[in-house]
Amino acid sequence: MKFLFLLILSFILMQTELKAQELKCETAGELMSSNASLQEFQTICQQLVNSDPACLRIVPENRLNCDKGQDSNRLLSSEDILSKVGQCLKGFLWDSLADLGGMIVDLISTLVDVQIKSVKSMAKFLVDDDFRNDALKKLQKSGGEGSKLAMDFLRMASAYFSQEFTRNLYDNDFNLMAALGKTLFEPLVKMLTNAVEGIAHHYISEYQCLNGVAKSNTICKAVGSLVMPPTAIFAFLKGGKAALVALEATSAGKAAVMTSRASFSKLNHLKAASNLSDAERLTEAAKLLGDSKLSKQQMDAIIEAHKIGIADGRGFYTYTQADIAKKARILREAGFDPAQTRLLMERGITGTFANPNTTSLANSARVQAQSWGLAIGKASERGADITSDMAKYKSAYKEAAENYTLSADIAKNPLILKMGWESAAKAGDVPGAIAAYKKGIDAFGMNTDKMLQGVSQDIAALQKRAHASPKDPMLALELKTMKEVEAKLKAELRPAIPMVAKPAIPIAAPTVPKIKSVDDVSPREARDIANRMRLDRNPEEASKYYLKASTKQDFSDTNFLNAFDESLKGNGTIASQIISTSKKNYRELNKFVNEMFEREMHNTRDPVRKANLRRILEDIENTPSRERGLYNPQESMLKTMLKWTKD
Amino acid sequence: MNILTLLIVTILFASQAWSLSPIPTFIEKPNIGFVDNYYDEARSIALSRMASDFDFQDLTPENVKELDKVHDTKREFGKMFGFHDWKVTAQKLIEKDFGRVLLFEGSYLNNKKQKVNFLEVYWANGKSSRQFLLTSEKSLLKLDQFQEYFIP
Repeated sequence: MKFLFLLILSFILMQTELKAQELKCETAGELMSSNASLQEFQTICQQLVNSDPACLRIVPENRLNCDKGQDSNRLLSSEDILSKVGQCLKGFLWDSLADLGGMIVDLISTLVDVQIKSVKSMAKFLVDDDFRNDALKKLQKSGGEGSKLAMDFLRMASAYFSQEFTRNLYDNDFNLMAALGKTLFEPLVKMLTNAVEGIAHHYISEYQCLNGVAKSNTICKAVGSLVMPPTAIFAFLKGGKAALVALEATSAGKAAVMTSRASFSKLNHLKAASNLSDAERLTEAAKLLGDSKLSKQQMDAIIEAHKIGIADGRGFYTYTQADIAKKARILREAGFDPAQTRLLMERGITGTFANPNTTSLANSARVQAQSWGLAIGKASERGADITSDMAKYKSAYKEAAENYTLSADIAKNPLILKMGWESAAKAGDVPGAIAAYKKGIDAFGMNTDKMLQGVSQDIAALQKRAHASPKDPMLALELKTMKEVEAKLKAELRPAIPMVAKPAIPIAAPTVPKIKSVDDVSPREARDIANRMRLDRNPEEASKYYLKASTKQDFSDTNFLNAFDESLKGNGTIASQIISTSKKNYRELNKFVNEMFEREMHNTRDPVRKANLRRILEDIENTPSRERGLYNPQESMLKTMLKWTKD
Repeated sequence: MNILTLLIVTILFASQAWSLSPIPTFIEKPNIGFVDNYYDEARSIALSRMASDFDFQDLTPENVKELDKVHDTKREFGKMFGFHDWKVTAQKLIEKDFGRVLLFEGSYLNNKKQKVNFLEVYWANGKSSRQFLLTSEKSLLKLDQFQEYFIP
């Protein structure tokens, strides 16, 4: 009898195993998107978490929980979608956006642009993932025309929503969630969270190996800055993965991805392939290739390829094309086939992080601090208690300051150091800010007088802003810190004048190095001169040199953006010149509006900068709409920004 | 000649103003996305204005029949956007010197199950076009009175 029971049991288990194999899930991502039953999920999950290199890099407590089903390993399980959103996504998705209603209407407007023909399918498009993906595929193939009726439906629906949303907002004491209403809230949250997950999964291969709690923790704390900006979500909803590839190709996109990956690694204590010893590296390579016997030549090749670029301070995301080609050649010459070579490189076996504790971590902390800053701004407007948020804000800025100061040393870049003392001042960290300023003098040879002059100018600017916003606790903190920093720096760097004056020593007039004209310098030289001028607070001149340094002459080029940025601090001449050129190319203009919306709104308080920006935006607004060719979301961004600049 | 030119310009501006401007009792409210919002507090009427893809030729009696298809969709999917039981009680297409106007009068239930009256206005004059939505929980919105809400 016992034997018969065991026979049946082993038969059932074998069937499950066979079924599980039939599912052919080779990665956690495939498993999570499959229709596996609970038993199948548990069987495959156990195999994957112990073999998928992406899962092995995740610490065990954050890995997929194989004892439970798919649903509990999701970011939002279907049962608790409302409560979890309240806990997790609220901070980023809702509070980080000035107006949730605006985002939804913009989202609808984006879908209008997608131009699905049937009116009914337009609505289905909004709530049904499979339908949307199919429709997008068909649309990309056909490049089809839209239906005016479908557009009418969505436009009018937006208007009804807009009015109901406003009514509910007043009735529910400005509670966004309540104002949204369950009927619109659920399908939209599902749609948005699916998009958020899609983006996170695309950029971070280990994401799908996380269990539900770790996913929610990760999205809330680490990759929010990457996936939450509406531009990323809109791009993904409209263009799928191709749009994400395009987004990463832009400098802003690349920086966001790098920051998010670094934050992800830190938050999940990722056992990065970069941290493996040589022996561990070879074991992991063998496991990855499913071949435990690597030849001596292959083992040497893996270690040799791993070392390429390290000496020059390069790592993941900063390798040059030559580094990558060299790594691939070494592996191929050792007998690895193209697929194996790609696998070894993609999984990070032959790479490393340049500096695990560099600017990217600092940027990530700064983004965190900014999001706390937004929360504090809103809370203090309501008169709510901000003690806890303020502590988080200060702690995030302190972390950013420490990492900036550290990475300035590594990168030998005084601009990063400047970010260090600015972040320390925002954190209220007087010793940290003083240390960063002194490092500027000791390690970068900055001029003491100029530095003190800069501190005084910063204080004057802060006083102006504090006068305009007397209730802003963050400004008050920054101002207080800077005043203390100034007093201490003066005391340390300018000792009291001795009572008996020493006889004057004739000093030869300082020789001022002549700066080459912008027409006589190479782009590289132009960038160096521009960087110096930026530090010397000569924005309009810096802007000219940055423009010369820009090889692409479009907004995907950092130097081009810097030229625009510096000019906004100055008299705005170059910025206006850039825009009058960009207006001839509607794609560039759309990019510009996006960029400004992301960068300037809520961050810029400097009245000069705001006034310059306003002039430029008005210039765009005065261009006939057919000529400017802005898409609906960008038109809306333009309007919102104009309104903001006039506040 | 000068007076004539002035007259033409005035008429032109007047028609443009009508097309774009709600009467001054409507106070501008924050715009949500691409929707401009206004509110008349005394009469509790909300007014939204947005761009339209319908041009003058779309607003003909034949083409208006096409718009009926959208009614089914509003009834079926409106609840996603906060309006249920959407009903049209009257509709009219008119042609005046300022262009063609298509009007729908009706009501719906909002998420709190309150009855809301609405008036949808589609306007096109050959050069530009707009869509408007007026709603109110208190006032009746009659299509024959639609000109009361815009600067004449």
